[in-house]
Amino acid sequence: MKKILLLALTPLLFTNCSVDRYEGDERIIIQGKVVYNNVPLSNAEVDVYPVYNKPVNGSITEVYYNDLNFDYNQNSISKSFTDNSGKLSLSIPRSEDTNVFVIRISRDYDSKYYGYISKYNSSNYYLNLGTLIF
Amino acid sequence: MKKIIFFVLFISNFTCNAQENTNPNISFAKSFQFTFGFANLATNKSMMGEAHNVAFPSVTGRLGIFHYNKFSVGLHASVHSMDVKNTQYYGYFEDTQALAIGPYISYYQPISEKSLLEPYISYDYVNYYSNYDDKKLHSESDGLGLGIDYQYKIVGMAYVTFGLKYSFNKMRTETHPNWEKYMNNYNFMSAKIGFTFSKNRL
Repeated sequence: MKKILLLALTPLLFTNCSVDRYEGDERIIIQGKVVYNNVPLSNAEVDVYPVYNKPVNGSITEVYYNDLNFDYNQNSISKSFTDNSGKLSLSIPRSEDTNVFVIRISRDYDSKYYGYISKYNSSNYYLNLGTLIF
Repeated sequence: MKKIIFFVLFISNFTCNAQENTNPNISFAKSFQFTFGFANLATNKSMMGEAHNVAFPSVTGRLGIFHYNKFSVGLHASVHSMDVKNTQYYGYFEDTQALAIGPYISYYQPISEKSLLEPYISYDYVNYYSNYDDKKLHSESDGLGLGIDYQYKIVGMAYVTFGLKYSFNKMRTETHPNWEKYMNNYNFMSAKIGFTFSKNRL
């Protein structure tokens, strides 16, 4: 009987673990600009993903997909587009699982990741990414 | 033993007299309202307002608990669901359910033999739950609601009810001071239709 109960409850355990939970009690504002060949990159897709990497310092640089530790779902928490000036502006709520994020810029079939967004480089719930070279 | 019996008789006598002298203007739980309609109408420029579509249906219930003359104090609760239309600042979610609860105080004023107006003020504690794929976001807000109901008596103690309410909400979110107003101040209007059941009003 115990085995049957254990077997029945095991899928529920995994289901619960695979949910990304966020709380709206804190929100970090993220702003920046994306350029390509020194020209503002407009209408580029901007996604933010939670990751489990350990940030070394506060600088935002290009990071590589193979080095990223995504969670099971790999769901973006924020999705938007750069404006005509190549500027991006968004906010992310507090994750219950990690406080490190990466940002992905996509245009046509190309995409690049930049990181790491963490407590090291946000101040007073604000982070300016500066200019990201695509 | 005699003292105990005397005390019990005294309390019984006092209670009986108190019941006989009960103020007829005071009553309990004699009003209930159930409505449905729209919410998230006429929003201000805010993260929540710009992120969400108009909510339909919005279901609201209200129970008057204590009544004195034309004043009522009670509890209200509502639930509405709205689609996320703009993910830029809110986050990449599909829809949001809002559950509100809180006390209210109202005053009714008859305007004809069969109809009355009932303005009210409420405190709204709201929980928001957003979902998409395997993501969940929970947020909270505190709000002040100002509303007015028009009620038309149809039969007995049943009134058909039309109402408008404007809610001033403050999200419980810590963020950068320059963005605080946009992220936290969330105001919207609700419109509803339904029924109110009240005793001894008209």
